[in-house]
Amino acid sequence: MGSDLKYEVAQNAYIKLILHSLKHPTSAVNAILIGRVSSSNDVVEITDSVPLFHSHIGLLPQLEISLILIEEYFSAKGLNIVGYFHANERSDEYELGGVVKNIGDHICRYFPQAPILLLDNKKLEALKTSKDSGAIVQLYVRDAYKNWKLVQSDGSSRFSLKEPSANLVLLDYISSEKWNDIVDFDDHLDDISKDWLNPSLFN
Amino acid sequence: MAEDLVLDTAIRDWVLIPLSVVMVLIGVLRYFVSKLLRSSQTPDAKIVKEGQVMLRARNLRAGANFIPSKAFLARKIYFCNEENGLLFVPKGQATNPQAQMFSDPNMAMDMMKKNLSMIIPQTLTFAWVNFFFSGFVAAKIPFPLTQRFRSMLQNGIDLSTVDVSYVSSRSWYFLNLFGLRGFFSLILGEENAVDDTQRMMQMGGFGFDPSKGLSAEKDNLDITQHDWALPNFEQRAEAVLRKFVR
Amino acid sequence: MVTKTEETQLNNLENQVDNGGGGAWEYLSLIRKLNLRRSDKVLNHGLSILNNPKFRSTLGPDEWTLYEQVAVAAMDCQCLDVAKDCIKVLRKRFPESKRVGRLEAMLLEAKGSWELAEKAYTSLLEDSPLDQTIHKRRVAMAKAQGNISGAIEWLNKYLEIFMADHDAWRELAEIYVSLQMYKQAAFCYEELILSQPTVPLYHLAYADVLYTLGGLENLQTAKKYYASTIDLTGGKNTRALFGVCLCTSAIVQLVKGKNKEDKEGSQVQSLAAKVLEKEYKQKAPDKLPQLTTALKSLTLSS
Repeated sequence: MGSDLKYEVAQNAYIKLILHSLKHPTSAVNAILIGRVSSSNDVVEITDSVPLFHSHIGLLPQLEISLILIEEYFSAKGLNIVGYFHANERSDEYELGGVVKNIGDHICRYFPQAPILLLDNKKLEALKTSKDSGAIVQLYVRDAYKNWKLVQSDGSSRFSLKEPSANLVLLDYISSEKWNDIVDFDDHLDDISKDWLNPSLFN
Repeated sequence: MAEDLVLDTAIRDWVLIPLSVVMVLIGVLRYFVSKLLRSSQTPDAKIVKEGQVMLRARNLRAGANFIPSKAFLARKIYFCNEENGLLFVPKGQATNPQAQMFSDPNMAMDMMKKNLSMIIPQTLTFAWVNFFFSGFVAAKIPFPLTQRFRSMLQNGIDLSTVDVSYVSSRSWYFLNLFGLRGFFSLILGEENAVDDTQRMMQMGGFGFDPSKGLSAEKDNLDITQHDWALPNFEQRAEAVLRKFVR
Repeated sequence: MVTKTEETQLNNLENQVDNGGGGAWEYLSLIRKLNLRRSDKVLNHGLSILNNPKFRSTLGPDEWTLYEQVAVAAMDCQCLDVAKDCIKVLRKRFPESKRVGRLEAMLLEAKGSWELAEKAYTSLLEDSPLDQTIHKRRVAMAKAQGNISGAIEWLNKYLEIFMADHDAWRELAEIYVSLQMYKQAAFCYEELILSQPTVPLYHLAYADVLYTLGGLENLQTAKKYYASTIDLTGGKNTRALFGVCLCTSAIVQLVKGKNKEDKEGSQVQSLAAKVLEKEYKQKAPDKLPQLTTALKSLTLSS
């Protein structure tokens, strides 16, 4: 395993993830990370994200359908599913649940270096005051024994935001309550005219 | 009788109207007294549970065809088995309401209170009416009636020659007793406690035995056949979708 | 369950109230009736009513209901001071009330003093052992502390008595799904289907759980329940349509090697695929190509 692979997330993908979890503060939410391995072969560039569900995360059919459709869409553009994002139901929980690990394992079958990102609620809360430019998520990767391990975000920093100003932009979006406009796959399945790509979010 | 009886207006003023007013007042009084006496009943956990079991068993019977037969059979056994099924009532344990009443002083007390608020005022008013107003012809209804109504309308007058449309005072009392229900529900709200007729029905039905309900439900469930409805739904879904595609 | 008319009524009222058009009281009553969670709005509008003594006095006894509603909403929004004030007013008015006692326990819970809250609930339950709300609060409390197995235990205890309470069954089902205990979840959904056989939501969820469980028999059953969902919703439910396609392809894959003893004569799958394509063409034409390839890959694998 290329254990020293770095992960870099683009601003838009990042904002979508956080806004999605803000839209459904009372339930667990998840999302799929889209991207590619860079030409120099040491960085996974996460260029986009697709918010998936905010209910019944543990059920398979909706996940399968969404993965098929998402992969179909992005493979035409030369992008892949490269990871998984999860926000826990309770704000003080920092564990990966069984479902989360299973989905992560599932994605690893197609993209072995896929990480799991877990929303860090403490940092999310402190976002307004701290002026921290680091990402407010925690990075989990699979070690050689296929166990999910938290990667501490000190020093070497395997995970970074592509644009350092992302948190400022995010704050701007939060203050204008943009999260109401986020559409996830749940919404799409309820009403297919809603677009899970959220093309109008950043206009 | 060929010619009409002429009713004194004093009868109207001193019998008919006072009687009605007193009946209404007593009704209202009784409502408040029974409200005071009513002990806040805390339902027994066992009874609540039995009610819920019944409800669930009934649901199972009604919706049996909507779940797979394996699931249905598992539930049927759970409800009906002879060892510890939810609906199974062991022979000896079937609680006799009579016995329960005597073993539970609270229950007897409740009965007493109910009866107190119902029977005592009724006897008193009846005695009062009998004492003061017996033998009056208090009113006349404006249409003729057949002889059969005599016992209803002319209670207390033993004259077979009086026309049936005349109402005796005692009968007027009874008419009021039963006829004021609608009026009470109007002034005291729907859930008033003065409902005598209902009260009497309750008395009749008192001693409803939940264990009987359970075993009846068990019998019903025992004979319920399972016929899974879902395979039919596939055809129905097809029909629905065909309509769409067209 | 909220019906369409109620929802539009609510949304209209909400718009009106938000734009200062009055009718706040009606809005709050409707929320109470429908049992919705709009805590920030309730807190906002409820407080403005409570701070208006003239209007408050016109409410009569409903005033106290409003205090309760605002208190609960305030706890949900973490405005504990507001909640405290409301409860204080209520306590003054009803010094003996259990209902206020419940609110006080909830306040403890909102503060995060779990042990005190637990004690308060226990003593309340001693007085009225059949108070459903308190039983439910206990479940919620266990869940909030992350004690999921405790929550399941409380819920099961609750359901032992109140076994006809379908909301509790639903909560239990969702907890089981989140723990990946699908067999238990399936049982809960069966119970829900029994209690309300014509609610397509439960058919769909049951089918989803069965599909997740996997195995030929479960898949076949799941397909049937997707079909019933299609029938009950008049073919409007996208998830059920997709579900039928997924099930069929999974079933075919499972029986591929073996004798196709039961070549399923039904055409639900192809019809569902057609309906899906038509729907996408109408409502989301830009997603159509992915859909077609996806559906094709599902049938190809068959």
